Amino acid sequence: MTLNQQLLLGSAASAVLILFGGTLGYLGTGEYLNGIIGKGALMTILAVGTLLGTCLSLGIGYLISRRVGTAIGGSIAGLSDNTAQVAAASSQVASASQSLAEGASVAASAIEETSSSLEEMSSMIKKALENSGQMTKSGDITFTAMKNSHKSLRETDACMKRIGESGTAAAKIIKTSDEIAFQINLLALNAAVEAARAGEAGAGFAVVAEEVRNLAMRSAEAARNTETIIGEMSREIKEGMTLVTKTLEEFYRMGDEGKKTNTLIKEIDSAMKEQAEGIEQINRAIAEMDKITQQSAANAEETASAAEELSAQAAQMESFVAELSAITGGQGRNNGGGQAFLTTDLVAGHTKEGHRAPGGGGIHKALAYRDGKESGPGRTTGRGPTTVVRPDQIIPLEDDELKSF
Amino acid sequence: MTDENIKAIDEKIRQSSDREGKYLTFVLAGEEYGIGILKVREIIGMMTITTVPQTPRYVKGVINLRGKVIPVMDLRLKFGMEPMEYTERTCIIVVEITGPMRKIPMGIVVDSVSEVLNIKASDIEETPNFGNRLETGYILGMAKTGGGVKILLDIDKVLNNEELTALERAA
Repeated sequence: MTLNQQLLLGSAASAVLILFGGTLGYLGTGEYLNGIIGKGALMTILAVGTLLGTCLSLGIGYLISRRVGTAIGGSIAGLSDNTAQVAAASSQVASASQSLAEGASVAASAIEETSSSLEEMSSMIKKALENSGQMTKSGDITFTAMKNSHKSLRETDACMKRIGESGTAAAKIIKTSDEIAFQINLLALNAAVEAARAGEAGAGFAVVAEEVRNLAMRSAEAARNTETIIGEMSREIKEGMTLVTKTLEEFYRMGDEGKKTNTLIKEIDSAMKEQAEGIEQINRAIAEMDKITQQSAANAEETASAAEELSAQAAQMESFVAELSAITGGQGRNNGGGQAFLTTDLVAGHTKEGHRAPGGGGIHKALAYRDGKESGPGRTTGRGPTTVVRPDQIIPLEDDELKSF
Repeated sequence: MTDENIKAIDEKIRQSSDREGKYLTFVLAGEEYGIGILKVREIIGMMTITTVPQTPRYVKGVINLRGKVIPVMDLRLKFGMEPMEYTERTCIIVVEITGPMRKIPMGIVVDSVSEVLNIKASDIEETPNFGNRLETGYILGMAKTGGGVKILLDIDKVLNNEELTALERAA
């Protein structure tokens, strides 16, 4: 039995009650009034009154039942809309969280790859760090060796200089002996001259002078030979000294370059250490990120399941609404179409107007919607999912509205 | 054979036998020269020479040899050779030149002194004739020694009379 039918039944019952009351009144007051006016006239008045009361109660009952049914139907339509919207939203949430979960898993795998690459990088850097450490050691050793050989070279240079000085001193001595030989030669020649002057008596002396002269010549030749040798030696010493000087210059340059190389190697070493530290930090951050991603994936899955739950609840609600609609009697007939329309609207993102639609004139729209007279796209029934339907919005309880009845 | 001829030959023989004997040899511009040893008083190394003004270019000046002042001439310059810086080998040979009035001691600067050589008459050749114009009177002869030739000088004739007179006056 629909609500309207029940209301009509109520009206009819009240009409019968009024009729019954009228009859009782007539029976009670009839004796009294019978004396005042005629019995026929009284009967007539009573009959007319009873009829009039019955008709009036029937009309009022009909009107009230119609009004209440309309109001409940509007509520049901709104509820249906809301349910549909909730269902749509929950499915959207479900799909969004699904894609979020997928994204999170993709991110997690990417993070894993990154992490493994980082690990590789880290191991490479560690190896490079080891190498650079060895390089630093080698550089230090080379530098020390270079310093030592530089010292030796300097000593060699000093030694060569000393040898050169000795050679010069020897050359001086040789020169002196050569001069002495020359003087002896002169003396021998003078002796020979004197011997010649002495004639026969100086013959033996001449021989002695000749021998002395020969000795002087030999001594001079020896001196000359030594001088030649010393000269050669000193020339070679000079060459050696030039070479040593050149080598020293090269060594200075080498030392400078070695210092630079050492500094560079040390810089590289420290930079690599910093790099290793940075990678360690990145590793930590990546691990954190991995944790967070996994958590967010889990969260997304939870959200998805919650959304599904919500969606199921919405479906259940829809069935409740359908039941309610059946009770009110075909008021929700058009709800199917309305729901479809609303869903489309929601998907298109045009729900804003609908949200603000309710107001003083909400009842007219609801009525129009139910009757299907003004179901154009611009005239949405317009109750958003969040709209709280107040009874006074649907059932006009204001005096001016009631006056029209 | 005339007396004159005989006289000339005798002179020659006498001369050649005179030329035989000991010579002090020295080097001048790479060539070996010889002076008769009896003309030589002594040989000394180079010493300070005091220049004397208004003397010919070849006269280097005078030296103080143990208290005696002796004129010195550069034989290179006298012979018109390139002058040379004196070295430690440069020597002064003190000779006795027989001047017009007396014997004059005189130093001659030579590049270096070599030795005292005994030269046989057979090794001495006459000075070859380079033509009438060239004065070769100061050359006693050419001594053949080993593979080379030594020019033997007649130191008395190296300077002419006027020069000797000037030298005598200077000394």
